[in-house]
Amino acid sequence: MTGEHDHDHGHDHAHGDHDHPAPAHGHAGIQPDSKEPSEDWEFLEIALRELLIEKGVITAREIEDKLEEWDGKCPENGARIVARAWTDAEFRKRLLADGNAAVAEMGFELPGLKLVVLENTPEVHHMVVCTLCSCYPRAILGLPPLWYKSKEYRSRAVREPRAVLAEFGTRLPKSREVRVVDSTADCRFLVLPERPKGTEGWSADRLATLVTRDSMIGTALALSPDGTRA
Amino acid sequence: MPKPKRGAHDMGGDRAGPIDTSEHLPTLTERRIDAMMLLLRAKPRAFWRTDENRRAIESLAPETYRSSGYYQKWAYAMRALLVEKGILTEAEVDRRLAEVRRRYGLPGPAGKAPRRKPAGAPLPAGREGGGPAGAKSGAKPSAGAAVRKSGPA
Amino acid sequence: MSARFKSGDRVLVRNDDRQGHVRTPSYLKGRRGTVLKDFGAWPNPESLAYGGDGLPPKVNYWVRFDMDEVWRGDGDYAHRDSVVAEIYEHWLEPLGPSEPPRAKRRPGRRRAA
Repeated sequence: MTGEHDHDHGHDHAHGDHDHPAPAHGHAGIQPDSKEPSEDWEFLEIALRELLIEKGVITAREIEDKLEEWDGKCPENGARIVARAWTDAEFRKRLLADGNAAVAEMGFELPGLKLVVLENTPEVHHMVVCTLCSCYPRAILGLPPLWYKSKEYRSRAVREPRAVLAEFGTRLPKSREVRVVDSTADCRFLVLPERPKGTEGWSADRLATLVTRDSMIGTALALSPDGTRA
Repeated sequence: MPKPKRGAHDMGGDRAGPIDTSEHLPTLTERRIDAMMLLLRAKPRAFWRTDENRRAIESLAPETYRSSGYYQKWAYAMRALLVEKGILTEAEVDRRLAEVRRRYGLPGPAGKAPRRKPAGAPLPAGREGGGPAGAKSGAKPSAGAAVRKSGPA
Repeated sequence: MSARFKSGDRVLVRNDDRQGHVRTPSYLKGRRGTVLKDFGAWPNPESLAYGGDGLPPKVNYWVRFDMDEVWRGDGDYAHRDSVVAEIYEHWLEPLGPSEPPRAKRRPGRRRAA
């Protein structure tokens, strides 16, 4: 796909290793290019960037600023929204009624898009996919994980949700409806996971540490108080 | 009733292998493609909309679509749209690509623009002939291609 | 602009073979579902994708489909599972009270244990 890259970022995320779920505080960082550009599209990026800057269409500074702006968009944002909904019943109601307005209270905007927050309940578990491209609530969660954009996830999520969930280590009773939400138009979906048991009295900050990126996409549940998967 | 023909992007329900659930941080190249795309699409420039970006990606030849990574497809779409909107020309992109390759010590001609499906895509209601609004080059309908009305009523 | 459908309505996704940019996934074409919500009118992506002005806007609905309706047993899901998608009004036909029964599940197909 995007070429081979060495991974050296301190976590050993072997395929299938589910003892280390993706942390909510993903480094919004960049993996440095570990080698010189070698694929045609990498040279194309350089060519387009140089031409656009030379012609004054964009500036190098603007690109840098945009990169920095997006460093600030990460799953921790979503975790804060979820934790607030868990601790503030009125905010939760507003969040479910009008996602855009509610997250705007916390400084998040999705211009031109409708944010729909999907409430997980004992009856319904939501899992979000965009089969046609890879629509994702980027303005809140940052860039989507590579698997979300993969043909494997995009193809199989709508037909084999239980098998897909199992690959993420998530197993749910058959009595619970798994509702696969295909993001086909101008809504962007954020799952509001169920609050884990045993967290009575926890502060919102502490609760946020249990809210993983994957629990807000719907391939996982929020973590249990002991840090394991629910 | 058999299902109609569909594009490579229209993949819901296709059979596929296991999902690689491991973390892969984006590279600087990918982040830059992302940043440039946002700058070109958003105000004040607003050279094209998300929908045009999607259409440009969907217009890639199926074999290109299937074998290219996410940001690789974005790079190709960005090139096609910049040319379509008259911001850059194919020739100058090709020239610069060749020069960039030489800089990295690679011989040979610049990579051609990736193969795209033949044009002849439906036009917005009310338009007659020609390509997408504002296009100077790029996706013109090929001679003889039927101009289709857009959309079911 | 008034919406043609409302929450609870049964609808059929048109099995239209038009090419070009559309946001109706093929796997839902010809399938029957229930409207959950009306998301209001939005600029038409089929026009915007070609530099058009997106007019007239199209009402977009959140439509829920039973997994069995979509895959007829050929998938890995539980009986209650569903898929929900945002579908534009011009892709939907109403289903009346005389809606025919859903096609039977094909025998011998794999499903979730």
